[in-house]
Amino acid sequence: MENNRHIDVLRAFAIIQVLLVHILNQSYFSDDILIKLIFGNLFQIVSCGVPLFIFISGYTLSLKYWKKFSLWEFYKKRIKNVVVP
Amino acid sequence: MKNIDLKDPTFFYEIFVYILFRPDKIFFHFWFIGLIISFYLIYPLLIKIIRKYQNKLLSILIFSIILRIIWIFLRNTLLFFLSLIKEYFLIYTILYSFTYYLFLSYISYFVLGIYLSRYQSKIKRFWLLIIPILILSIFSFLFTIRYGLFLEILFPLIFLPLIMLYFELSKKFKKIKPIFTTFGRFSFSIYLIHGYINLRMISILFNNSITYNNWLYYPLLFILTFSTSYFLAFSINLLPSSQYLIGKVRASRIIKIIPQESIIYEI
Repeated sequence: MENNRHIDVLRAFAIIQVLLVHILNQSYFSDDILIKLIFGNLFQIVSCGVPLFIFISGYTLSLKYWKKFSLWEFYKKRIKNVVVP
Repeated sequence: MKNIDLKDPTFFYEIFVYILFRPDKIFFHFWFIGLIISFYLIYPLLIKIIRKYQNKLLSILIFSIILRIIWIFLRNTLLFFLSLIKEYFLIYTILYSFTYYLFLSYISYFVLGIYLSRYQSKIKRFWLLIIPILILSIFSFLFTIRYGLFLEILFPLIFLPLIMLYFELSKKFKKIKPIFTTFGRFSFSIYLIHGYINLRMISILFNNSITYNNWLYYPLLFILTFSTSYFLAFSINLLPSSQYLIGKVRASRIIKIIPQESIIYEI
């Protein structure tokens, strides 16, 4: 990997998919069969946003902590980034 | 959905239990936070095992895929039995959230990320995998309805060639327009905000008689939710201490990695 900008693009793909999932799942309530069929199937295609985020986590954590790993530093950063907000 | 009855003593109890154990009902999308925290909790142990057996990383990846498949079958069986004890509300909700959002449901994607970070440059002819996987995907697409079990199992297999294809293409497009990376840098903030924005936009569209049965409803809702969430995240980020509200926005920086050595240089 040349730089982490490509990972940011992957993150952008993932967040767009997460939003699409939360929007397209509403087609389930539609009375229009065609809407249900098209948007329902599109829902299936875009439902890999969360797996993509998990993949990115494994990828970036491994790049960062493969050689040098400090348990305290690791948890300090995770708490600051995820738990606090 | 149960009607709101403030005189009912069990109402507040149920709200309390829902907030604690069923965040998917209150902030439906926040279940991901629990999932990612569980990955952070197991990461030190996982990295210890993987570093010890780094020559057998492919075997670990295959094992994680098999483990996930076994877990999905086990989880679905557990969820079936759990549905029988729905009247025991507290026990049911705790077990439900633990079973459904346990890291095992996503373990293979995490290990795949670790695997590709190490062996990405060594994987050749990945595109050979695309054809059989596409055929399998079309079959699963035709024969499953919403979150089909087959599709759920198939996802890690579809991921590998697609991600490799993306990495190969990204080598050819070294200059990326900042708009794409910006959405990525704000992804966590957009994620935190979008649930509420989505609900507001739904009510605005409904007030203008654009509902589930209208074709325009879905693209409009996406454009409104995404753009509002992004601009709100962008604006809040300009305020001091904004990281406590919308999380830390990643800095736009370049990290170069020397292949096979994994030494990280920040520019």
